[in-house]
Amino acid sequence: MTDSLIVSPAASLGSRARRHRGDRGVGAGAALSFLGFTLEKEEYGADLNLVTQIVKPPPLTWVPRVRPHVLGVISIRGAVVTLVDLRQLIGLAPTSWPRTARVLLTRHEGEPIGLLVDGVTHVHRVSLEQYETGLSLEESSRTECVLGIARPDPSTRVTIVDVLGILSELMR
Amino acid sequence: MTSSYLVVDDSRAMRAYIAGALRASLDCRVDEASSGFEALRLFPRGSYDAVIADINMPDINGFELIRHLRASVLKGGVAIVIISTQTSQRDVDRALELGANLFLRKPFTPEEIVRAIKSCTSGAEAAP
Amino acid sequence: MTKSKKRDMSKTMKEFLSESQELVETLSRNLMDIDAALKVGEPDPDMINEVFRGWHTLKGLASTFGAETLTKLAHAEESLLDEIRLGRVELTADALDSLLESVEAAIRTLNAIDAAGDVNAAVPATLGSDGAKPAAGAGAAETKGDGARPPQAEIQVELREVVASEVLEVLTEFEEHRLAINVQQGRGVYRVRTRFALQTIDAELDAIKRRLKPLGEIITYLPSTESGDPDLLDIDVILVLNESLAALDAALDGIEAKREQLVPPRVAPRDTAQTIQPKVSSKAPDEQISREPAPLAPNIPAPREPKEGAIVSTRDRAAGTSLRSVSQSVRVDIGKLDRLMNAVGELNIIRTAIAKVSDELRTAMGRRDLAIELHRVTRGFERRLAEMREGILEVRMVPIGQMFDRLTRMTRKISRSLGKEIHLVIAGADTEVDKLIIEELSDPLMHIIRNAIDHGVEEPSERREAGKPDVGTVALTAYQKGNHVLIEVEDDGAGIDGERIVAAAVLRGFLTPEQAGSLSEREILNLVFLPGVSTAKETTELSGRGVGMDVVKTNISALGGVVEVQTELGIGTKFTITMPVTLAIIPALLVSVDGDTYAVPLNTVAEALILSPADVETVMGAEVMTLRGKTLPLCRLDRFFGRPRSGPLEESSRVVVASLGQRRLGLVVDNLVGQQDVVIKPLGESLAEAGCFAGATEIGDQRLSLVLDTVAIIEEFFAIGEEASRPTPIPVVG
Repeated sequence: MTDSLIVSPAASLGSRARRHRGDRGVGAGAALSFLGFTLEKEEYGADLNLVTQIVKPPPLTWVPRVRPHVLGVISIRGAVVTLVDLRQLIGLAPTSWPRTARVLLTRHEGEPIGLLVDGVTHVHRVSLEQYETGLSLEESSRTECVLGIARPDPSTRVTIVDVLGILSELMR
Repeated sequence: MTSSYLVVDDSRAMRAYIAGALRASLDCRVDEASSGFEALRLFPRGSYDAVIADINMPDINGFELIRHLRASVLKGGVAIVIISTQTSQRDVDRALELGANLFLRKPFTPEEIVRAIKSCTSGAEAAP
Repeated sequence: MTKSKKRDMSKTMKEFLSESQELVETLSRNLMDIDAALKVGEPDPDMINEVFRGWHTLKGLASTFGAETLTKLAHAEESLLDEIRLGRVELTADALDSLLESVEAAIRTLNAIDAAGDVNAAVPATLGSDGAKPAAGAGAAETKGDGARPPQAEIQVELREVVASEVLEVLTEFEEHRLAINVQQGRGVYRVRTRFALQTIDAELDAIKRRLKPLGEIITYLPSTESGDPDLLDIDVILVLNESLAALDAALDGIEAKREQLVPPRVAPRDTAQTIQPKVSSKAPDEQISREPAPLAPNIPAPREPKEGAIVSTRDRAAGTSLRSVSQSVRVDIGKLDRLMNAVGELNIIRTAIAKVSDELRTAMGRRDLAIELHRVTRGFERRLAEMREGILEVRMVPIGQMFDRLTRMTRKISRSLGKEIHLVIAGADTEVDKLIIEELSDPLMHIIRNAIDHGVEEPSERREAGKPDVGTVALTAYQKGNHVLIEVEDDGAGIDGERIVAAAVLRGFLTPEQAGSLSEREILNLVFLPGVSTAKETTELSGRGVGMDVVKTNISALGGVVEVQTELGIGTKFTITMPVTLAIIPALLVSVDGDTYAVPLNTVAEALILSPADVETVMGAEVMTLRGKTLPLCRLDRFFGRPRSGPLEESSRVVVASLGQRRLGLVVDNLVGQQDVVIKPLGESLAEAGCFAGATEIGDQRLSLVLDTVAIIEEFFAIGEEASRPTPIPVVG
């Protein structure tokens, strides 16, 4: 693979080294697309290809005897989908179910999983230059889920999360 | 005395609509036929005060039905109300020439069909 | 309006919706038949008239019930069809496109009305298409130059000279037109008079139709009562004859009929010896549009001789379906079926109660003989109930062909928009599947077909180079195998390139290059079900629809099915969906615990009891009760789930006695909600740690209830019990 690929700083998270899809091809101006969402007022980003749908949270059915960040199950187009509180998963306080909350539908090894976020901003496209990785971040508890920081413009800072890594964590 | 009507239309919903309108306002019994042929089968058996029929039905169309009904020796005097979405003057004229009493264009309200029946039959009484 | 009148209206509203949906479905089928017929010859004018009548009836209905959008659409289509059937506008493939578009617009409108319960519901615009284009057909179709035809008035005069007025005066404008065309073209017109008994008129009419239709065109039927007998009816069939008179006589052989010539033929009728360009009609059951496909080489159908144009769809038996056989079936609201099922469930509960009384009678003093009799009767009742339940389940089964119609239409649309000619072959439309499955299967199947056409089938130039016919073939086959229904979608395209998939998967981060090297062929193929791998182009819009194969796989597993793929480079690809015949539908007892509803599979339930606090005893730290002299351990579900209610039981609750072999466990719940058949949908791996659920089921609108895995609960309870420690609730946050 070309060396423009970005490697997750937390190779310890799993036996696979996950590679975030980077350069589309040769040449400058190649773009990265990700979906922006908010958790506790901070903006994060996730690989667009991993999110298949965004929905308003449907009625939740609580599932007993599971870890606290697994909120329960919801019904999406007839399929039973596990709903996970992304905030808790990355170490933040549990969700307060704001009105803007949304569910990001992803998939892990064929199983649909819904990630509950506080809100969705929009799709960002940044060039390679606007994306940094390998930084040491202040809150080390979150380092493991972070792939890098994107700056779509000088005043905006979006933390790109490692969705696949998070999902694998969930399954352990 | 309870009146008796025959509704002939190949649309189920249409029949239900008309029958419903008639039953709601008049003291009557309503039979339904889904085709001209079924109407021909039912007609001799019942003694209908009026026949309400659509012009555009497959196989036997409304005109053919009118002519046949009028030719009936005993019951040729039955009131015939023709309904249709056709707006062609040709069809209206034709129907009346062949002996229909009234031509009612779709869409019509329940009140309109009841009024039509009342105007071409005698003895139509209100529903209790 | 009075209240009862209002209620009546909404019932007729339902009738309106239901009939409109039927009409639109028939329209779609007829249009597809016309499409097929256009390839081999001229479509039967009857078929076109059918489409006209469909829109005409729909217009009448829509206007009567106040559905404005639908009325406008129907009116425009009716006018267009009128022009077409009267020969003033030509029916081209483009015109057919627009006609089909309008059918889809009608479907969308009806769906919106159904969903909103309002005849004037707003219809959502669809991506890509720009909604209803009612008058577009007139633009797309070419108006025929009137060089070849004399104007209408002249035709009238001609007809009046040759046809008796008593026939003419009852013809509709369309019937007159057909008669005129035929007379103009020199064909003979005959009156065939037969006599029917009014009681059996339907069957006899069908019989006569069958005999006469192949010989030409039936203009109309004229009733007359010259017989004077009210039970008999004389019918004159006005027939335009394409064949010879001898053929007509042969067809009338055996029935009492008199034929009379109304208009002599001016051209020689076709020689019956030569093969006739068939008027392809959907009504004549013996005329089929194609033969059975040749035996298939390994998995792929042999390429067929290409028919010009887009799709020819073949339907094995369904091709001969006339309107009459459609009326043999009944449209059933699935909600009504569910209520029926619940009623059967309630009857079951009553049956259990009777059985209990009968049991107790047996041990009580007195009429043991009566008790035995009661027991016998109850068994009989049980059997009938089971039959009824089976019967209702069977009503839910519908032929998969219902969905195939829609697929055929969509396939045609896709193939035309992608510019690839596709031959869609359908087999097994009669295979029956649960109605719920059909609804949910059509989307995944559509995606697979779209994939096949988009990525599988190559461009015509490539195909030619590969020695394949220009027209690509997609074969849709359904059949039953044991307890399952298999649906195969097979194309004769380029096949799936393993290397490309692996590269895409690595690119998307699902594999490292090292892992990629060690994959088996099957594993490589299964990569196609990973998100983002099967869509060739990168999409940055979140359409929320997901056209990838990963969505297909998820939707199918949600139904309890699996999807597999086989491929051969250069030959083609086959996707196989395996579904259970019915969804896992099991009777269940619904219970409530702490405000939530759970479903307990009835086959693990021995009985249900009322529990008052007085019945509860504590033995060695565990709660039990005595049931008919035996000790029944109790498991409080609220505690088991980790949200124990504060304080002891105050009021009575319920105990569901679950059994596994010899073991019994009393599950303590708050209330029994009811009994019904539930569809179990699997839970994901992410919830495996709960350890006590068999799945989830949908109860009401988008709400789920968890289905208990009674066996697991019993096992866990007794295992822990054997260790002589109470189950500790798992700490829950919040």
